[in-house]
Amino acid sequence: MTTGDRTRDLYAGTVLDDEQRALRDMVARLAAERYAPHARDWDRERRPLDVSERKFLAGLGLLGLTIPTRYGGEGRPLLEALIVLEELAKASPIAAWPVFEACTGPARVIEQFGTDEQKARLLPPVVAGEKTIAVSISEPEAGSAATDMTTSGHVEGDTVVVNGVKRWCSGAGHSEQYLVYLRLGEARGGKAIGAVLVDGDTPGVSFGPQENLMGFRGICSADIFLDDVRVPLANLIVPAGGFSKLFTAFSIERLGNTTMSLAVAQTALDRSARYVIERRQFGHQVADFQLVQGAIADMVIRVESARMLLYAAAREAGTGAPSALAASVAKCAANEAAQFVSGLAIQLHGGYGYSEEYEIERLHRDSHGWALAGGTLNIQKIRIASEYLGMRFDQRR
Amino acid sequence: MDFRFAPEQEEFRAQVRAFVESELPVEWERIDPEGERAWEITCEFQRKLADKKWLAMAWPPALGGLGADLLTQLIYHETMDYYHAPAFTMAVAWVGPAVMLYGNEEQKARLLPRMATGEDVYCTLYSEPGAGSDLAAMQTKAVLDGDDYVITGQKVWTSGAHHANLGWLAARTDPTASKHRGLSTFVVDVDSPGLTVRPLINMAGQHAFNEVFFDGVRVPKANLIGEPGRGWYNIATALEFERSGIEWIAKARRRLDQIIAHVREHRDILENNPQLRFELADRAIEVEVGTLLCYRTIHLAIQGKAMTYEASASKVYNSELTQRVAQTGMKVFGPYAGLGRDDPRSPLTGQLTHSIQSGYLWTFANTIGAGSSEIQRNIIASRGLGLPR
Repeated sequence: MTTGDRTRDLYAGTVLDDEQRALRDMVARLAAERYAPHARDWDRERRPLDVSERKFLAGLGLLGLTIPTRYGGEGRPLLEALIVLEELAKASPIAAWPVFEACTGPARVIEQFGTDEQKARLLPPVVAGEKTIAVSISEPEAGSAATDMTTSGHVEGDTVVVNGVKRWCSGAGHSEQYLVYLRLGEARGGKAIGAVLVDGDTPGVSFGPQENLMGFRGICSADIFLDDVRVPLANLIVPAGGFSKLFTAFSIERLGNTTMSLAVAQTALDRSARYVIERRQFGHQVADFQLVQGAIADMVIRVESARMLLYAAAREAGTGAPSALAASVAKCAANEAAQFVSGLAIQLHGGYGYSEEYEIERLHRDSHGWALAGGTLNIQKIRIASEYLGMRFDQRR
Repeated sequence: MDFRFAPEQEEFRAQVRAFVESELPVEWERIDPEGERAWEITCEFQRKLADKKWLAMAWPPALGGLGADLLTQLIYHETMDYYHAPAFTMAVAWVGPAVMLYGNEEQKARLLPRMATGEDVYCTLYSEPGAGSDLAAMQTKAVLDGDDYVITGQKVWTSGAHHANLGWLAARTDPTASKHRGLSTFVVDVDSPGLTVRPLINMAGQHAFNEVFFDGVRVPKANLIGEPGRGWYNIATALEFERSGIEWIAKARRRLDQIIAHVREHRDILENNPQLRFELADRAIEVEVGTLLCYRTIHLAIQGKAMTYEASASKVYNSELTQRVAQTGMKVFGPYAGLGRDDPRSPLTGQLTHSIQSGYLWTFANTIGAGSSEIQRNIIASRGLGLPR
């Protein structure tokens, strides 16, 4: 039973048109047949998606959904990419990762703020599945306080020389290119921050060991060391002073993150719904017990409200970016829904939920990753209050 | 009303603490808690506890204990669990008490002293694939054949079966009786022919529990504990001993103390996460509440009053509290909390038997094992509050 089950298709049933429904069903079938059977092994082996598989997704047009047609994409609204992303992620977040990066990630920063030349040069390889671009913001001493970053870029003629250390870069070591946020001048805070695109094989770029993280296994993560890395000035995507632009584009990524979380929550709910009907104790279906009914109802409420917030933000975005407020509200709701619903799913499955063999626990481990990535829950909440109240808060006072 | 322990009790607490500090190797908090070295340390530490007669301190001296009162035993466990010291055995916690109540004299003399010394290590064989919360639905059969019972069936979620030499088993001896009346309890040799232990890996990626298969395993009649058909009542008593546990609240308190100490020293954590101030305040209140709920169960036991729902209330509150404290820890340490103990950047490395991450993942077992939170809430509602079923 998936969101494709009409009786359970609550909010989505009122929003999606026939074409979007057909897209969703097609991807759901593909994901169930092609990726779901491998999800557990890929997680256990911490194995990223093969490049050939990424090209397969590209061949179906799934990596260019939100990229304008003139760059080889389909120019579709963000919502449609999120529909595809969710169905893939419900089978395996590893299979969904290239779509996440291409349709909601750094490629969108280039699409929104790059020059025509940059778009024409950098976007077609993403659409074709030849390259994945990862985003790199955090540093050892700059996590939630992103504007504390110290990685720097100095312009020398037609080259930017980049130095610094990045941390928690999802895709590090596996992606071909990196959109590196860095400091391009002496000004403090966000004023000097911009972004350059760095090829992973440029001399001076090296990667630390792959992190052994609790969740997100198979979505690589590692430190990136940038040691006098010479990047063509043509790869300067956002010059100093563009920090707010970067965060506008980042709101798109936050809806990708919201979708990945929603996929966790929806899968946990779907599997729990199936289990409480199949599992019998005390001569009854487990679903006959009121505490179980209450748990299922709570799960449905959390999943559906997160979906409403996601779709509302995505529809507002159209083919562009959502508002920062809508993105943060949706992200918080979905991140918390994923943690709550997958936690309850473990409880409802009892020992089977707690055991590695049944893959329920994987959903919960991943739910924590999404809540940290793209700005933690606490940071989102500060942003929500700030946007809603029209006030700016300095946490350092 | 006096919420303090007596001076001699506080002195005993200090004595236990000093014992842990001197006898538990420092490496205990740096190594894989499910690894081989951890098991060696566990055995060695328990031998020392047995030498002091602490392992089963509440048992009579003739059986290897000190005849300690329940409050002393509470202080002992609270202190040991606070430091995550391996002072607990299933044998002493519930197998022994059941044997004392229901075993014959020969069995008591044969089995109990070796539990008190830790020479025999037990696992508990209750749950089955089809018998989880509905434990009395267990189907594993025990059929009398000459002087032996022949056991056939499957158990699951058997903690520590890979370390145990003996098992405390419930199996169905009378398939015609109603499901609560057809069960019997046995002590079974884990090395018996036909008994197979297969590891199951838990959510934290560790091998702590197992599946156990019985294919015609012969158990001497002399190892039937209590009357045939009374097994359900024997294990129900044993589960009461399990549920009154102090371990959750003691471990939660330690974890919270460590988190608070870390946050005090690292200003940037609250700068980036101002809401954590209040979350930590909530957890501190909850740890005090949980402690009192647990003390109340011991207080009732000391007064010899029957417990109805109090142990369940303590179990459900404190097992859920371990999850909230662990979740707060995950927030405090952000992405670093996701790192394994083998990573030097993993928070509080060297101070925790479980990393922040695996400690968090382990807490999910607490609300499932020994009677799930749903079962406990039903007990509170029906027996405690007298609500209709």
